[in-house]
Amino acid sequence: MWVYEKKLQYPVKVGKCDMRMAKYLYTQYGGPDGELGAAIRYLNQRYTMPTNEAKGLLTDIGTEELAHVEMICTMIYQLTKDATPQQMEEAGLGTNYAIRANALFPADPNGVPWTASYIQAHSDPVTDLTENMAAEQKARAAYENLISMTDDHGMRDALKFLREREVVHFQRFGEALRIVQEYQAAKKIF
Amino acid sequence: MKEDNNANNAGVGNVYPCIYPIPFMPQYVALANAYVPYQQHAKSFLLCEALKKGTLFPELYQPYEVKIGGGRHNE
Ligand SMILES: [Fe+2]
Repeated sequence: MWVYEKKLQYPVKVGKCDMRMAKYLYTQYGGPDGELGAAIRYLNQRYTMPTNEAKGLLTDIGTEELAHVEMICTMIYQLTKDATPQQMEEAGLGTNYAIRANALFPADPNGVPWTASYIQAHSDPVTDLTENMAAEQKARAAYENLISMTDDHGMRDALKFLREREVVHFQRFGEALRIVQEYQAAKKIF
Repeated sequence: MKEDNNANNAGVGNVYPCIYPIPFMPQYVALANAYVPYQQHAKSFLLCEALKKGTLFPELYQPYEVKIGGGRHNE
């Protein structure tokens, strides 16, 4: 069960002048290391985790990733909501306009739709947690790419927040892995 | 960071409570395993500052410094 709060996890205010970023932000919406993939990956993996901490952590972080999807979508929407077809074209979103006007879509910057092939699940908790740690590093790196591509203060501010969350998530998955390692060692003894 | 092993992780309700507390680093390490230090005592930022920074914990705050030439207008 979920409880929805009608506000963003972190306030987002992006300037209109950097519209080309709308296209690039799509990597964190429906791209291979994006927030949607993260959310689905964790919420799907949690069932087969052996410890309560790992189950709870995947639920918590998976939920937070949904809040990040919402932030990224809000940024894209703020940039594109009033854009004319010509402005969309200039921002590299002409194909988006042809297919769906100013609507958003879970795809990467090239318009390639999000796919579950970006994620995996093994039921082996070491394997799954290691995938998740890698996923957090990839998302952190993607945010650094995005931060380097814009000078817009509001955009950078939100991207820096999201990047820091990836650092924290890596730490928490690492701690979950430590618990699982101890758990598996204890299981061998008792 | 201090290595106090008694601070947290009571492990209440867990299947193997004997594994707690988890030490900062494992006592015995094995090849082909990855280990992340387990966070112990946490100092914290003020809440308003924590929201701005993206973490409550100073030891986890690792901001990105944009490379020189980063940002499209600085090229
Ligand atoms: Fe994350």
